[in-house]
Amino acid sequence: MLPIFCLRLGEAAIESEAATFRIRKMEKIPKYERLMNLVACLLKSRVPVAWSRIRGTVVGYDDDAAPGTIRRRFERDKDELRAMGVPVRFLPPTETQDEGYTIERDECFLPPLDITPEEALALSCLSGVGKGRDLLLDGARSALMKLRASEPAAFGKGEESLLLDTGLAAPGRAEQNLNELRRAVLERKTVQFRYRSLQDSRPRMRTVDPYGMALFEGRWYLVGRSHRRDALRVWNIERIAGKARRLNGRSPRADFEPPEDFRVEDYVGLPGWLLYRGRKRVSVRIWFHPDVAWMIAESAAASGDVRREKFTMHKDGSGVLEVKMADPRTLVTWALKFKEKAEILSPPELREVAARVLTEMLEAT
Amino acid sequence: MATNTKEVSDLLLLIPFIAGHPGVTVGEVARHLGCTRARVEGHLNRILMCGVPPYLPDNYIGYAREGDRIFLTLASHMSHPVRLTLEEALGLRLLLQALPPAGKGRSPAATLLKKIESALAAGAGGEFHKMSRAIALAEPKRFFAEKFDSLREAVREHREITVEYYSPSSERLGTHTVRPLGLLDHEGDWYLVAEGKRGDRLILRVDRIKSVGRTGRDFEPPGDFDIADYRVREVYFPGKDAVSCRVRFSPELAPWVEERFDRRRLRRRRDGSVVLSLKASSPQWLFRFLLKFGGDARLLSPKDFVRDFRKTLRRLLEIYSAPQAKIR
Repeated sequence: MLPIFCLRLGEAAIESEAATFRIRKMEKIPKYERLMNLVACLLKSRVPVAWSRIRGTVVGYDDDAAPGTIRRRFERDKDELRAMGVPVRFLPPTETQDEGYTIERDECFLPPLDITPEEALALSCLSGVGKGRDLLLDGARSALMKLRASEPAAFGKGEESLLLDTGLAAPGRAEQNLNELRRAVLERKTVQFRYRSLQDSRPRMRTVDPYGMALFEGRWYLVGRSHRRDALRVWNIERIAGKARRLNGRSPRADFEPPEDFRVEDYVGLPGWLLYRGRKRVSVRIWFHPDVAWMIAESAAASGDVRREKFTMHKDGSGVLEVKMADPRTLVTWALKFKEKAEILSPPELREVAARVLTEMLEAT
Repeated sequence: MATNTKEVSDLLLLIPFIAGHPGVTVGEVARHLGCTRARVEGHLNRILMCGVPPYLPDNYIGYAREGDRIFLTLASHMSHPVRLTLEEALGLRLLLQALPPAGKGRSPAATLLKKIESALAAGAGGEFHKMSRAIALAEPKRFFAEKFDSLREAVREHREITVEYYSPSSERLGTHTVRPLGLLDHEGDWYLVAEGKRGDRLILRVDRIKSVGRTGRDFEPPGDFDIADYRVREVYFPGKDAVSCRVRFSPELAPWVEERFDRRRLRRRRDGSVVLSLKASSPQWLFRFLLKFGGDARLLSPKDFVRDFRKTLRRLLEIYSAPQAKIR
């Protein structure tokens, strides 16, 4: 064992060429170098490359390890390359060609996308978004670089004075859990975390099948099935105390399958008055002054279908919004924010709630 | 992705990127990759190790440096980027969702989304569709595409404009002449950064702009303007004449308040309630803020604001004391 140990450290002064050769053979080739050599070899060759040639000549597969070990190494590397979007295929022998491994260029490389100047400008606004490290933000960055690399001429020098600050990566405390949860959603893995809800003074353990996650007002929310309640719930990621972790992180199998029709937007980003599930939804009509009616009309036109709203504009510029409501107080306080420029028309019970809220506020102030 | 796998995908990305941009600087590459210059230098050294049998000098990818500029040689077999992985496509889709709306039937976000789908790695299509419904931006959609287009054009062409704007402090719709400098998205809301008539900086929320008109005059934007200076946690800047106010929140609301506001501005009381100190540029803004919380918020000071707030509450109570609304 001793001579090998010395060779590894490179301390022994060995002068013969044979010994130098042995050092090269025993030196551990870093994995990235092995994988890159394999990709380069297959891309450079115009014909499929036989296993015997890879095994004998590509650095990283040319050492003294047992043939079975090298073969397994190759199979693992193929899996990793596939995950990166580089599929290595085996082609059986044909009349004109020997069998061997190849990377099909059409399958591997980005096709021409013919990026238009408008699209290039939009993409330029997106580079530089967010500073954090995060699975999807990193993904977006490398996607943008790939598009630039693919069609460099499409991207002019023109940049717009347009700043996106979406808060895509969660700030501070939530950052450490964001990646774990993203992975859990993508791999369909059950997660466990301690959660500090606003009602609880101490964080409590939750076991969750995470179906999805969404960003709303700068915060990420997790949506999934709570094991304890066997029902869909929404969690604010910033309220997770400590680390979230996948329960069976090592197993390649999915722990659950989300419902076919699951859509994260149905659970996050809705106005508060729609949120109380299980309560009956009541129709409400609210009048708006011309100074503000157009604003309400625009928002109803953009997302009225999701928010269950309809707006009718009158000739004088005023208008009436019809909404469905499950929680009276949230809707009342929202309408009151417009002061005299809005008035709840019906139902009369909701006007009573408004009067009650105002009386409470007068008493408190 | 494991660390050493990430190295490989970074290299497979960098080689075509540098090959496509001969003479790109280390700093630019680092900016696009969202990493340090040192990491880029490390990657460049690794690129030099990539070769093909029989590993003679010209079987390796090489690079030349001219100061900070990089040029690749012998990289033609690897100079094309690999298709998009699921994470890349999903990440890019999220960013596209954050793009401002575009009018006149041309939305680069929509056409790009189609192109992303055609650029996906083999077999990733099904997962991409499923996960697009699972991971999303849930910010409310805005309906101001054409208006936004005019603002964008005015910013680009340095055109002075008039905006019909609903001012949150006066609570009135008024017309203002401004010089638009940039547009900024903050947590789902778009803002126009502009210069007012007296050279003052204004930040106008785009959804409060009712219409945009041209004055026919162009302007020279200030040389030191950089929209990136406006990347902040809060877009609300209290003016010089802002007044210090104190608001008490009920114990029920206290945990929520503690989560949202800077702790230095909060004081917890023995009864579990919490007092927030804040600056208000206008009483109107403050009153709207208070009305959101109903009886759970109570304005403590200043005294004249308290008096005016009570007046507002009484006026509103008068409206709702009638069992039926006036016929509107």
